[in-house]
Amino acid sequence: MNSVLLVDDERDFTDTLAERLRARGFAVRTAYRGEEALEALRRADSEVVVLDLGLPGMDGFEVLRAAHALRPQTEFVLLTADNSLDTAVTGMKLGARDYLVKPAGTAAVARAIEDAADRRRHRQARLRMTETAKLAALGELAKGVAHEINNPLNIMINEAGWIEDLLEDKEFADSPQKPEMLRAVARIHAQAERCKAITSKLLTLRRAPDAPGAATSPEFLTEVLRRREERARELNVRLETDIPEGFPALPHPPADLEMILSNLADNALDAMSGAGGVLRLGLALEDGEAVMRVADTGPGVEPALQQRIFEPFFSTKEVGKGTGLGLAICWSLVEALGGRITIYSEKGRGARFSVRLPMTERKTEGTNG
Amino acid sequence: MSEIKLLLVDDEEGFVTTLAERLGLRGIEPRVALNGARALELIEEDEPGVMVLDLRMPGMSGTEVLREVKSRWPAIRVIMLTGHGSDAERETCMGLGAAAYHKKPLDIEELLDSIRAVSRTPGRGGRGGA
Repeated sequence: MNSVLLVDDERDFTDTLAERLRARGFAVRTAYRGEEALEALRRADSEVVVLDLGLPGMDGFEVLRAAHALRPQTEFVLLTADNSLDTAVTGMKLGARDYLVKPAGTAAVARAIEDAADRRRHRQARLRMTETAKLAALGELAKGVAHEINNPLNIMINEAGWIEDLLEDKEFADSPQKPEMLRAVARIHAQAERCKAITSKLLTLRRAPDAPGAATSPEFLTEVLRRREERARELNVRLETDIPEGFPALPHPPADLEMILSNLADNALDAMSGAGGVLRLGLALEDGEAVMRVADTGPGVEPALQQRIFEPFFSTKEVGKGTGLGLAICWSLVEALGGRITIYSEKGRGARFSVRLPMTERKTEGTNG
Repeated sequence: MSEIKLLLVDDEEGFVTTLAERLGLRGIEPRVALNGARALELIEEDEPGVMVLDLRMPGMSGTEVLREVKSRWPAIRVIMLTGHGSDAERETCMGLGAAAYHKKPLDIEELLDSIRAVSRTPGRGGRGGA
């Protein structure tokens, strides 16, 4: 069902058109003024906006400009009383891709809406492919960096150990500097361990998932969440689960799903540190796929950041607080399992990550039913 | 007199010479080879009980050296030590008869534990080896 926002100051026309479109199965909202339309878009997205250019008050083009900035993914179909080329060109420059000259019949409007919704779907599919390719490339790059750093890191740790060994020599036994030297070497060790933790995380990016054939029970996922009970209590966060009774096991390795859920749950807890809130784990079957949802009631993620949070080393946490790898690892694991991960968030109203996974095993060797 | 006859094979000279010194302090005096061909020469001269083998080396790769060693001297216990570890590589190496597989960086005490542990177990040839 396509969601549509009709914006036109002629109330009778708008209401009648809305009724007719609803009869054809569209989900329709209406606005009679530009400001009203922007407010409606702020509250919720519509796939397509049908916008009359001859609005009183805020001019149609102004509305288009503001609405396009607010909802870049939304498709606009312009309604205009004049069929001059200038109007069309101006509209196109501002982000509209189609326009109808009034009076326009219901059938023509419905067709324009369906075409616009198609364009939106195609554009999103293209964006997703580009995003997938970009993240895969970044993952490979990060992994390459980790490999290259591992060797010098290995030498540094070994040499620091050598200094420790040498300091044990009797020659240094009475040296007043010895404790200070040992302390310095211990710090080199500790920092090297930090680097090692990062490189080993990086090396899990784009790794092949565990052997197929394993399955994960919903109880196991609940248990992964329960392990965070203590931290949740400290943060004043309530843990909730929403798992239908008798939910089937997911045909994916427990280690992979644990990694994904752990990262999402820890992020959610981080997001709620300070104000407290609710962390909910949900499982559902939708369109033959398993959907694992991890939702928090934290401050949410700004739309502009929602694409970037899956990039390696992208972090909104304070420097030193996060490696910026958790979600990148989630993303690469979910892709490897044949699924996809998305975020839904409105500022100030929490974030919800959805992990969609196929309910069929990745490899079905020799099973031809 | 070293308690275990050990051969270290790694192309990173700075790493392997210091490692040899450090192992020396701990009672194991290893011999060192900087590439696979040299490693095979040293084994022909005197067969070690344990071999610590790097995976990525110019010339003969670690897996090639491992295959050769396990077919000619199945009793040698081979510990793989790699900065480029992956699950698939681990599988391959263990399948070829490696006794242990570690990722760099590795703490020297862990390496020592591993060397001592494998030296107590009998060696074996690779799976389906010639």
